[in-house]
Amino acid sequence: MPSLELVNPKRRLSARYEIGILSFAFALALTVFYLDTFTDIHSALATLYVITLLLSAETLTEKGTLLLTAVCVGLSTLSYAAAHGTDADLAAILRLAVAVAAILITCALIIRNHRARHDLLKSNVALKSSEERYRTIFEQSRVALWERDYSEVRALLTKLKTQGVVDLRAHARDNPDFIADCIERIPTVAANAAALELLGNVSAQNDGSTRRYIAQDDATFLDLMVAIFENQSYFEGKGTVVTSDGTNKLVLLTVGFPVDVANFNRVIVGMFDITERELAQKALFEAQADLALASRAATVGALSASLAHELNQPLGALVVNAQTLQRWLDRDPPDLMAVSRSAERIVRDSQRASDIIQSTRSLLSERTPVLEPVSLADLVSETQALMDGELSRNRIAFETSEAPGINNVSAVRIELQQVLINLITNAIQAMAATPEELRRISVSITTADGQGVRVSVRDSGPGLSADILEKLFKPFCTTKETGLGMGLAICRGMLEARGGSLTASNHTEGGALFEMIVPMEAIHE
Amino acid sequence: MARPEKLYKTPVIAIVDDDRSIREALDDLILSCGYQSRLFTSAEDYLAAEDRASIDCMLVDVKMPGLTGIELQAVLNEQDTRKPPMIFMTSYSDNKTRTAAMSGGAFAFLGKPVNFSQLVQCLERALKR
Repeated sequence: MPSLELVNPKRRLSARYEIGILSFAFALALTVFYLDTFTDIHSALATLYVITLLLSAETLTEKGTLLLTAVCVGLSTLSYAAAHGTDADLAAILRLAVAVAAILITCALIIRNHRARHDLLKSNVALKSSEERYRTIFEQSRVALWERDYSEVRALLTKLKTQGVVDLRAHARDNPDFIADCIERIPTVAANAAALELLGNVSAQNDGSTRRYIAQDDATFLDLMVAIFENQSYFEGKGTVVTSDGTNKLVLLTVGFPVDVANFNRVIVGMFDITERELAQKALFEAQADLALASRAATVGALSASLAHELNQPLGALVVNAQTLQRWLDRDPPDLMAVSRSAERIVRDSQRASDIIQSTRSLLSERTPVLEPVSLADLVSETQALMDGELSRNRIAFETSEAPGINNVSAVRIELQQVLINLITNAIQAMAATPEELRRISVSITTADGQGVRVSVRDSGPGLSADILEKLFKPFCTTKETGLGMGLAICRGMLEARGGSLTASNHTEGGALFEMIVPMEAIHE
Repeated sequence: MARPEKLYKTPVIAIVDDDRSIREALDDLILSCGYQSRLFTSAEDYLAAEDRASIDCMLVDVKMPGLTGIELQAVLNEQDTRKPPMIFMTSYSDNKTRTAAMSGGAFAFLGKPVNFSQLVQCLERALKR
């Protein structure tokens, strides 16, 4: 029955030591009782019971202590009664009162101490199991997790801020060593099994490991620094890491920054390998683009074959009719009746050829692709993903900016994408001779004064010469050795057919600038 | 029109083509050459004709609904009656079709649109046989 348990079952001292102490306490209590009862010492001897209480405090439970207190108080009172009987000796009563008060206060303190210790123990246990849970999650998670010490890099960033740095990206551009310096200041505290698996088996304690596996041209690390610089509580981004065997992997990076600055020495960094997913998505995009291209080519092919066949008959007849007419005219005298008959047939066959072309045209417009709501920002980022390989191969920085409040347009998605691909491809090729660190494509999406949405594609290449600007959109105008010169002409035609436009100019700060206006509602015949 | 008498019979040329424009253009061409023509809209139409013996030469389209020109030639080859020289015309002048036509005994194989003087010369040669 726990309610009657007087001795604390959880011993903290060795049994021998404990028995010794208890014996001493017991002997002390007896001695005090004896002296208090049978000698005539005029002092509050009973106060010494406090020592007994204190000595047995470790061994007894709360109830045990209360009981012992009661015994001590009882003994004191008994001694008083034995020595003084019923005489009212004020001094003796005062001494008794002091002793009892001391015993009671000690009892109260012991119990308070007990409880405080108990609470401390309990919260300690809770803390321990929480830490254990955290460890289990950390170690066994399938997500690659690191504990990294960001305190030094945070101190560096804070220092920069006090020095008046406002735009960290500009600072990084001006100081090429900045990124490397930051990376060096982030030691890894711990890494879980999934993390080691993701990067190949690199030692978690290896200081150089952080620097080694961040890909050279990875922009995500700077984004992460900016997030810390701007005191954000959370960071998520896609980055490229290099594993121990040298392969590149695309990862989703998540970092939750602690609220308490002191905790920046153990920040949890999570990585999720999305290489497969991204590859699949890219393959899907490419397949879609190929399909669109193939079906367009197939349509054109089938169409021209059927047109050729259909037109061949009336055209063949026309040639024969015209030559026969010539023969009737060459006769002496010319057979004008026959000439007239031939001419009539020529008119009729020409009309037939024209009808064939007309009906093909109406057939074509019936087969126009469907309009759908298109988010131009999404389309740009999809197209960027599609051309990612081409962009990174040519070391081109790609920036997109979107003005707030841009609505979806109703358009033929694949047409807009083809125009974008064309413009970006042109921009890439235009920057072939531009130094690598200056290569940049900026796409901005803004409203076009009620006309629709303006998508501008700007490069940092040499721009367009006056000569080229003049005939840029004419068919068969090309600056490329292998080009047909049809791309921009087709792009403009495609946009104009839907009520949009495509213009070219040179940006005031250099580079070519192509602007397409996409109407909110495409024209759909 | 007064017919020339037995001494000289106007050559009769059969035109087998499913396209009306072509049929009529060729009809006029043959008329301008001084010959006479008979028009058929299909191979079946031609096979159904009764007095095929009077026909001296045939201008046949290869690709027609129903029997093709090549199949028409095969049917005529199986029949005992005398077969006039056949001149094929087609927009699809692939080698396979040409070989099939020539090995079936075709007189000539011409591409469309028809080369006018080539066709006229071809007709003259066929009628001399």
